[in-house]
Amino acid sequence: MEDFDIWDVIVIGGSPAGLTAGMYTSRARLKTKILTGPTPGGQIALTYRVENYPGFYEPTTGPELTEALMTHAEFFGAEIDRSEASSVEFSKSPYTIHTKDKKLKARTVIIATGSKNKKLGVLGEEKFMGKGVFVCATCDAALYEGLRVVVVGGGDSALQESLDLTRFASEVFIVYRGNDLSGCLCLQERVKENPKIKLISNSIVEEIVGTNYVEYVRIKNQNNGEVDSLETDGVLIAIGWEPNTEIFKGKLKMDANGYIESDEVKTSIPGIFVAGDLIDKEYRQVVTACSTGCKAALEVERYIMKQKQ
Amino acid sequence: MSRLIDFGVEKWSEVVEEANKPVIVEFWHERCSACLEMKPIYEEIAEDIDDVKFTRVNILESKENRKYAIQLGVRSTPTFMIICDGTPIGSLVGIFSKEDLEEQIIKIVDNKESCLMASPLE
Repeated sequence: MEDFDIWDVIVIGGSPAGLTAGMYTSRARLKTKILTGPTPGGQIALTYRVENYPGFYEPTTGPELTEALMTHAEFFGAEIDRSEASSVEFSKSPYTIHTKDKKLKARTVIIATGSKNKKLGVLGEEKFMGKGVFVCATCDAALYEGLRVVVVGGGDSALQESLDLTRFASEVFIVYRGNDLSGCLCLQERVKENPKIKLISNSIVEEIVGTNYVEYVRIKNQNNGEVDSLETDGVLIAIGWEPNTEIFKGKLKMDANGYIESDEVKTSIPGIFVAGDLIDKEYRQVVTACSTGCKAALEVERYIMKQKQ
Repeated sequence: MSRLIDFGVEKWSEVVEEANKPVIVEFWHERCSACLEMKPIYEEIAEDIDDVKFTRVNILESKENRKYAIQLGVRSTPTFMIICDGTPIGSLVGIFSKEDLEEQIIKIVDNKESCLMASPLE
């Protein structure tokens, strides 16, 4: 295999961490490819209003921020590829990454595949996905104008999405486990002040029911076990995230929840690094994701320099 | 000039019901990242296939557009609704590769007799 066929670094994942890593490595004159998949940006691309990314004191949108990150990476020469990695081979360097129609080789790899929406795992969830069940308020809120939506979850995402929904929906019911919402206080205040939002605590959605579209949900009270039906036109699932690491199973050490085991950004295999929400399970902000992307890129630079010595 | 037609639902009769070929209506909006991903793909397909009319309705453009979409059963964006002789015969929701979307559209159109009579696709 010719040297020019081998990338210095392939970034798997077009998340803020991945795009930042690709910007840094390409700026360091490393031959960089970023496999973003069909929708770059990760979770931030689904967020309508971003007001807490440093330097952007006027709110921007998730897609705009994603575009800026991509442009920055391309400015220094990174190649953005909208293919999706389908499998990997990490047994020896250069490492191999397969997409649907390509076999790629890289001296180093940065994994920044982020996370995806956790599923409720209840009856009706799959059946009605796109027919009343949805995961992105930014995308679909307008289709619930004048209608009622149940939001499942009590964290930051659920609260922010609920507020987004009130731009269109007539009523929003937030169903959550436990007595208290777990989202940040600033969001909790806004939610509690919003007359369109009603809270249903200590409860879980047991089933999503309907004929061709969602018609109602069955809600179980965790304290007394009572089950009630609540008519609704939509159900937004916002219960958290799980890591996008299926293709790395058996190739890298992982914990029981599917997160890649790492020492900061270094995985168990030299030359393979990880960044973003895959290692930052606690803070999960765009800026923290970008910082881990930067760290992974700097480690790639050091690794390649060392290999050359 | 692009063959893709952007319209508001007040022109539904003229653009969709009176068409003499199958019509695809994409319900989309500019804040939907999946819609933005599909934009160049849909525009390319519109140039490739002659026997289908490709159109778009932006649901954020007007309340009427939103209400009509909701009445038609649209619950997610992007939704590509295939309409023959004024009747919806199928919908495709979400992100597709160009090849997959073309294949799905052709499959739905080919399998509906009214569409075949109106305009057989290769």
